[in-house]
Formats: sequence, structure tokens, C-alpha cells
Amino acid sequence: MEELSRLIELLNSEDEMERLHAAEELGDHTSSEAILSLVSCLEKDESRVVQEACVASLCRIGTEEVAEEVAKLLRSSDPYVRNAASEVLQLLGDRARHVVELLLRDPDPDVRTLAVRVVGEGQFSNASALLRSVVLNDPDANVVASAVEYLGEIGGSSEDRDALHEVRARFSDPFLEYAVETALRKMGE
Amino acid sequence: MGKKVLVIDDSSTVRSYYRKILEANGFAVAEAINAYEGIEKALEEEFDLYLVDINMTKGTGIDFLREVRSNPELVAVPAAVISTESEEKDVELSLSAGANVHFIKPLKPETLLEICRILTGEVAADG
Amino acid sequence: MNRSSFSISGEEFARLADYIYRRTGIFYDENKRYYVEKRVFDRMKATGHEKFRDYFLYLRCDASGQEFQRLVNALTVNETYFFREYDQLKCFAEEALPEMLKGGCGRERPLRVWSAGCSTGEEAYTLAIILLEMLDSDGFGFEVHATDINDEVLQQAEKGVYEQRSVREVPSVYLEKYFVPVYGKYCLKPVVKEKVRFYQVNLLDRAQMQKMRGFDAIFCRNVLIYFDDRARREVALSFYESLRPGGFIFLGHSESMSRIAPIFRVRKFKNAIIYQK
Repeated sequence: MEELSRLIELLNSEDEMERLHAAEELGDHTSSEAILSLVSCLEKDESRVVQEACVASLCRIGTEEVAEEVAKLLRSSDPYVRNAASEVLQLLGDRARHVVELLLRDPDPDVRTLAVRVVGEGQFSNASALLRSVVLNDPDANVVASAVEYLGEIGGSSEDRDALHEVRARFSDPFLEYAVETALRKMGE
Repeated sequence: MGKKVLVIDDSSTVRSYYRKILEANGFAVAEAINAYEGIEKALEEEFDLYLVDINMTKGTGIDFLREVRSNPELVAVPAAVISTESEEKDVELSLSAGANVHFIKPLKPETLLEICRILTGEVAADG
Repeated sequence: MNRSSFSISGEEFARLADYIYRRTGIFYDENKRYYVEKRVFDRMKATGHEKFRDYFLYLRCDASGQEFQRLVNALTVNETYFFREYDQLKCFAEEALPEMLKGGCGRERPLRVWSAGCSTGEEAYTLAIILLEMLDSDGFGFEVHATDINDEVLQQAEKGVYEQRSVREVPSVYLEKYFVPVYGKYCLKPVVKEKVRFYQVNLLDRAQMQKMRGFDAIFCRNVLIYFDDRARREVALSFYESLRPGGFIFLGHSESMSRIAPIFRVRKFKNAIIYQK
């Protein structure tokens, strides 16, 4: 316990190497305090290397709680922070599944776009079903385009193909049309 | 020889869409998947324009812009951000990091071409 | 299914190539189709897949990432030899080294270089030869540290005896100056051997890595390619701590730090692009 508070304290050190070291060591702890302090450090620290150490440690801890806390950073106005957070979710795979399913229904299309990439790049056992549902239901062209691309890569069932054809009825955008064509071609159509 | 455009975007569909449109109109295109690969390519070869996405892992569009704008050899190359972010704060961030313009995806082919033609000096902005 | 009748369609190849490119930064173009196909075929056989499509899904969705690693291993045959990737070594010797020396190392303290994942020692000894050539006449000191996880290769490395194949790229003046031919093999002279310290280090063992400090340059070429995303980031962070400020990191020709972690600065030199702390 003392060790944990010492490390959390060190995350506020003036010295970059001390903060880096503390961020790395905190990855061996799994308590909420450790997770919350790493998430807050990832969000606020001014050193990219310390932030990257937070990413590495959060991946190492790898619990569902990490997924829940990190998901909040997808709304960050700092592009590095929100993309680093999405990378953590991606690397957590199925342990982040519940959180990611919620993010796919977020009102903010930018958050949904990131969530689609998490599903597409990560290792999720129900990835095609999740992507198909985005392709069929999401109202935003960019979110759908991203899901179309990943479905083209990991999908292939007749349901997946049908979903891609449906997009043409819902949108008339040249980029989306191109994305659908490319995905169908990848599926061998 | 056509003007050379470096496309930095993590989506292969986006990259190949731009490539198809631009190559058909006389531009030469190179691709990078994130900021650091973009910086590597920009250092290896001279370009007339950067087309930059914002959300990418292991180096965002903002990282790319800050890096090229702090490099005397690359500072003058025009850069267009083409991203999904549409809020005012996102646009401000792009411009303050060194983008000349910020456009919101998805782009129609004619808009993409117009951006590229204007920023590479092929046509005047008011033309 | 047999090898002669097996082929991957253009679209399938493009999809696989794109996936490998995204994950590793290595791009296999159409010219490499036969090369990739052969190795994919072997992996399909080993995992009991008849159709490429099924194998690709297995590869893509295997949460452990093990199959991806095996495929990458099969694709990146690690043949090591002296003076491998010459342009990069030239960059190290002619461009990075003068910068390091300006910082005072070599005079006030020895220059420290680390060959991480040194295998049978070819790279470490190559670095020692280059540094002997570049520094010793000026009286500058240097150390080459060479580590690997595998203690069998380390024992082999310490012997300093190589086949002709390993020394084929060694410039003939160096071959004469630093090697003794014995029964068709090449033995390194003590002047080179005594400059290199071999020991066992697991790059993912943080306790071991914390002892690796104060290096001016790290060579870790064609090693991280065998690690998954998470492990690569951890190693990159450890390397950051192992380097002095301004220290350089040399990865393999086909590898890029852009796939690992955004923590180093990109530097352009005449002969190569190098990442720096």
C-alpha cells in the first residue's frame, strides 16, 4: 500500500524520468487507485514518453475497469490522448467488449468512429456482428465508411455482403460508394 | 511531372480513394499510415502538398503538422487537414498546428481536386 | 491441397499485405507474392486450414496474436552476417558517431553501444570493428555490449568463429586485419573480441532492463519484429531509459519506430533516417 501511494505521488514529480519510472511500475498494480492515476496521467502529463508509459501500463493491467476508465478519454480534445485511449481498448480486445458496445451507440460520431476502429483493429470475437450493425444502422457517413472498410477485411458471410449493399440505399456519397465497392471486392465479389 | 501529394491517413480506403482521384488528374501520390511514417516520407522526398488526417494511432495529424512546421526544410509545404472532426475547437487546433485549411470528411472528388489544385498553386484561389 | 495448386488471389494478397503493413510496417508488393504465398501455405498446413480465407480470419481474430507472430517469423528469415545493412552502419560511423563524440563521450568516458538481440554476435563484432577503425587511433575508448535472451547463441558468439558465408560482406582490408582464417573458417582476433561483452538479457524483463543504462546508441535490428504490439512498446520505453539524452536507436531496414511508439525524434541523415532520444 505504501509503495502504491509512493508511486502515485511520484507521478507528480518534476523529473520526467521519475514520472516515467512510476508510470511503468504502476502497471504491476491492479487497484482502482493505480488505474485512475494512470488514466489521469495519460490525460494530463506533458511528456509523451510518460504518456506512452501509461498506455503500456494500462494495457498490462488490462482489466475491465481499465476499459471503462480509458473510454472516457475518447472525448478528450487532445487527439493524442483520445487515440492513445482507443489503442488501449484495441489491445484489451474482448475485455473491453462491453465498453466498446456502448461506445458504438454514443451520440458523438467522433467517438463512434474511434470505437469502430477499436473493433476493426482489435481482437474482438464478435467483430463482424458489431461492424455489421454499425453498417446497417449508424446515421453518420464517416462512421459507416470506417465500418465498411473493416467489414470488408474480416467479414465475408452473405449477411455481411447484404449489409454492404444496404449502405447504397441509405447514402449517396461518392466516397462511401467507393468504400462499399472496395469492401465487396475484398470479399471476392 | 505532376505535383506530388503525400496522403497521411490510417484508412487504406481513404488513401486509395484519394490516390485514384489525384492520379487520374495528373498528381503523383505517396501514402503514410500515421504521423511518424509521414515524417519519414516527408524527409526522404519532396512534396508539394500534405493531406493529413487527424485521428491516427502512434502519432496523430497534429503531431505530423507540428513536426513539419518546426523543420526549416518542410515548413513551407502546404498542408490540408481532412478529418471527421467538425467542431470549431478541432479546426482551431489544426490551424494552430500549421494546417493551411481544415476540411471535413467525406469529400467529393471535385472538392478534393480543388483543394489540391489551389494549395499546389495550379490554380488561383479565387479562380 | 498441395503447394503447386495453391495460390492466393490478387484481392486476397492485397488484403493480407495491407494487414501485415498496418501491423508491422513491412510492405510486400506484388513482386513478393510468390515468396509470401509459399510461407502462408506452410502456415496454413501447420494450422490445418484448407482455404486462405479461413486462415486469414484465424490469423486476424486470434486474440493471442501467436499465429501472426509465427507468420511474421516465417516471412522474416533472420539471416545475420557481418556488415549487414551497410547504409545504416555508414550512417552510424560517418554521421551519428561524430555527433556523439562532440558530446564528449570517448574522451571523458567511453562511448557505449548496445547490440540488443545480438544472436551469434555478427552485429556486435561489426560495431567493434567500425569503432576500432573510427576511434582507437585517437585514443578514444568504447564498449560494445551484446545481449540476447538465448544463452546458446551467446556461447557461440563468444567463440568468435564464423563460416565464410557470415563474412562475405566484410571489406577485404578488415578481413585481413581482424580475422585469422583457420581450416576454412574465420576466427576474430583478440583485439576485436576483447571489445565486446556478451551477456544474457530478456528485453521484456524490466528488472534486467533497468540495469542497462547510459548508452549512446542501441542497435536492435530485426528483433522487435518478433514481438507483439504491447511488448514492442514496453521495449521501446525501456530503450528510451537506457539511452543518454541525444542517444540513437537503430532498427532494421524494414522496421520503423512509427509502428512502435511515438517517443523518439526522427532525424534525417544522408545515409538513413534514424530515431533519436
